[in-house]
Amino acid sequence: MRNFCIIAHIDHGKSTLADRLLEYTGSISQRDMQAQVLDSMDLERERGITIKLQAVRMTYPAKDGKTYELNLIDTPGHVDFAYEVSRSLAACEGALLVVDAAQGIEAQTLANLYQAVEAGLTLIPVVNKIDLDAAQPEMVAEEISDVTGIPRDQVIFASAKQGIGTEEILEAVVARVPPPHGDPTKPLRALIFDSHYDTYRGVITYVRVVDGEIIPGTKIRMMNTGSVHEVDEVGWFAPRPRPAEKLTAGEVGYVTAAIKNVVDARVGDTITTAETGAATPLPGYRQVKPMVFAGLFPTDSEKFGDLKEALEKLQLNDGALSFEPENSAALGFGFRCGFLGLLHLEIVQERLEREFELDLITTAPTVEYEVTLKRGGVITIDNPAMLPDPTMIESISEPYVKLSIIVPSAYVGPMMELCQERRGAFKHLEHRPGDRVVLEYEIPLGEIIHDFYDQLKSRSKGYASMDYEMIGFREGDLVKLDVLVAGEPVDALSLIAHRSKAQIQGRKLVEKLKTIIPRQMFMVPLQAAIGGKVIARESIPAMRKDVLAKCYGGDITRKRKLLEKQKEGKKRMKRVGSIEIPQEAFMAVLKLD
Amino acid sequence: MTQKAFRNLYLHIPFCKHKCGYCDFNAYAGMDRLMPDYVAALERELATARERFPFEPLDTVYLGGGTPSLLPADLMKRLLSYIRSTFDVAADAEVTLEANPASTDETKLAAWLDGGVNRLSLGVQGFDGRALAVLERRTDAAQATSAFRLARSMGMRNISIDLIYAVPFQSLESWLETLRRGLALEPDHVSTYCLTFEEGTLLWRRRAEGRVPEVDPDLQWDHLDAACIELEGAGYRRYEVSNWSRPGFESRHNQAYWGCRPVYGAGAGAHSYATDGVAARRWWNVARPREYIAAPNPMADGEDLPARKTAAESLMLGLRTADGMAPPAGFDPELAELAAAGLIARVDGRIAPTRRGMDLHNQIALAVL
Repeated sequence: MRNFCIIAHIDHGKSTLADRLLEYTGSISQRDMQAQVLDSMDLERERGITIKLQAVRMTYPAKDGKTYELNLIDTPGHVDFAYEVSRSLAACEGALLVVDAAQGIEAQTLANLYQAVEAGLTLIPVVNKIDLDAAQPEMVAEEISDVTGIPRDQVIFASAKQGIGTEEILEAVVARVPPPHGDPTKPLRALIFDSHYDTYRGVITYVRVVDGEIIPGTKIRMMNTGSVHEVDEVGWFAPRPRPAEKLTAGEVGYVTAAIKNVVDARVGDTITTAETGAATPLPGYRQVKPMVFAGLFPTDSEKFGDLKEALEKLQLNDGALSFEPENSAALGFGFRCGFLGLLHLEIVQERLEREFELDLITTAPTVEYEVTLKRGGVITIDNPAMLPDPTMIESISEPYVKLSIIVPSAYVGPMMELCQERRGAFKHLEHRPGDRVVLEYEIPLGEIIHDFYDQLKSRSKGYASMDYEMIGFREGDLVKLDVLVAGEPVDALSLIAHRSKAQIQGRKLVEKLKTIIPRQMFMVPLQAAIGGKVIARESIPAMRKDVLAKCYGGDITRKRKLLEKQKEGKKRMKRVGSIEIPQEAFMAVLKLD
Repeated sequence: MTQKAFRNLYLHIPFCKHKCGYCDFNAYAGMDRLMPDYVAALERELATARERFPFEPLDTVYLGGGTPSLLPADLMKRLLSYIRSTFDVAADAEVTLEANPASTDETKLAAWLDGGVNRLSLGVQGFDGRALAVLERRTDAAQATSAFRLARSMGMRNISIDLIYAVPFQSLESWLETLRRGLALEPDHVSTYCLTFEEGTLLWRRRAEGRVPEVDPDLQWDHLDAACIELEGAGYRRYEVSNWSRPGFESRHNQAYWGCRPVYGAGAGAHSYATDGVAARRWWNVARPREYIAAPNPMADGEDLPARKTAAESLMLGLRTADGMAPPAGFDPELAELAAAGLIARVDGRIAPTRRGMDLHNQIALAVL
């Protein structure tokens, strides 16, 4: 038996390679094959990223004459899910390090790669997409060798798309990855590396059994959260579920135990038996904390209950999503939601709109701030509207991250410029083979959730990649920027900005809003203000002509339908006072550059 | 439903010499050879309609298109006399024919007048060569002027002209000049249409390709406002969003649409509207001339309008006209809001759009629909 995962950057071909391995081992016939089997959510397939990891077992008769059970554990490919990656690494003994032959190692891959090395995994480097015209396999192999210390001749050249190198990879997994070791006679300890909610069976928990055995019918306990459940079924996916009598030390598989909520089967937790269980849990558990916050409001205020229900359903499957009711003067009742990052936010938003057919207004994402009050005490706010009056504030701190960027040296200048614009403090620069540079900055998280990634990509012609990790809160000269529409402050448009940039941000914001908010029947002044002082103003002129030129016998039905459709569109706008504000206005702050 | 009798008849003539770039009407170029069969099919439909539906003496007959003036004189003459032999046409009925200046000549005019046409709607559209070129019209100012004068001299007592404003690249001065040249002809009625980019037209495509810009809405309003000043100064009244007339020369046929009175529409793609005064039904014929000719029953589809929708539609249409309407029941909150916004006014128990309400009529429609 071998347990391994794949580390790869988005688009470097992880999913295609996984498909190839499944196909080669006959786990799935070509005819049944839905392209990219592992990424099972529609959204994942559309975006080409893996959101939720899964595990698949394959049977492989190797050249040494023996037959091996291979467990492939999929890992998410985005910085938002870094913690999940670390847990899936902890469930393996080996990792395929897949690097695009034309792109080289990206920041995300490097971060995961270091994690894998730290976790003691055996790395099998694979240079993928060697069939591409722009491929430079030799150079990429050298880079990998340089970074990992693995001899150059152990790097495998492959093209998952064309099926080149598949056998070599499987042989390397068998030969180089050590078999799992663990004592089936010891008390049960199983690491949860993923869980998802199934309507019929409750939570399906993906585990790596480290010690002992899991047998259906026994009572198990989650060592960190303390919840107790009775095991219904164990087994593995191949890739369809295959129930088994038990899962034993070293094995990877699934457990169902009529668990109602993923919160009771948190990633990183350790499963043991309820009676005579293990004394200490496996290391590495932490409760994931949201880093990015935004308000979600139903466009139609009567859908508040539906939104609540939908969020509850999503949370069944997404322990990292948090939400609590929020009441906005402008937008009415909604929820303040916490996310791991921007991608996580977008995924939740899209699922709410697609799967639950909700029309939503999402306010601009923000981070958490720690506010020290003059009268003593510290409060944490995740909503700019909740910032106390400036006279009550002693200081405000904001979260900082360590940001690493990998970029061809030609783009170092623009990257440094970007980080400086975003208040980053330069820390470190390192040259890599292939004329590439690793840049390290300490930078406020709030600065990189606003259009940073797009800028990074566009200013590096798509070559730069980034990764970040939290390093704590730091004090900053921060102010609240308010937006007034027709003289009324709109709380949902408020944001917290650094004083040095608030003026220009305010000006750009009202300029942008002027282009987004449609003309109304009267002139609408737009103002940006800091602490009651107006710093920028624009006005939307009143509409003067809005009428269909012709309306005779043959036109009436069509024109009425045209207007009815327009009216539907208006319903999706939010009426603040007497002004109709479209959804995108609340996200305008994200697109100011 | 006890359907009210039809007193208004529309006939669609879908033929054109050339399809103009902005036109999204049910009109076809290059199908002239279908004309005789088409007229026969029209006569067939009229005979059936006369049997199936209640008619009272016709108050209006309207030959629209397409280009009705394209029909050869004898064919049009035959159609006009067929109408008179099939229906009771009131002695003072308004009988309108839409004509393109390029296909209007002495012979045809004589046939039309002889057949009872007493109102000519002349598709002038513009006098500025550049604007006409952008519109892809194949007529010029001279043709328009001579067609108008000829019709007048032969005894056409009621003549309307159509003009288009907010044509891409057109200056306010050019539009004013167009208006003045139109008024110099002393028409009885003027329709001014803001150029609209309709999906599927050549003009729509040219805008998408970035070759033709749409006129800024503020400039559109300037053109409209200039028309208000010019036309009112010359004694015309804006009795509908896009229509002006000398007193007593309002289009009676079009007022039937805006007043939600029953209209029977015959011909390819024509719409009919029937009502009992509470609910309504609208239906329409197959659009393609060839299919229309071949169809034993030309009706393609229709929609039933329940009472609320019928009333909402009546507001949408009635509030396009200066005289307005008696407000239907059940719209008090919407109407109060529109009055508060200055878009409509109440006069003697009726409601009517203000000048602003006419210019922003979509806002009225959006409120009541």
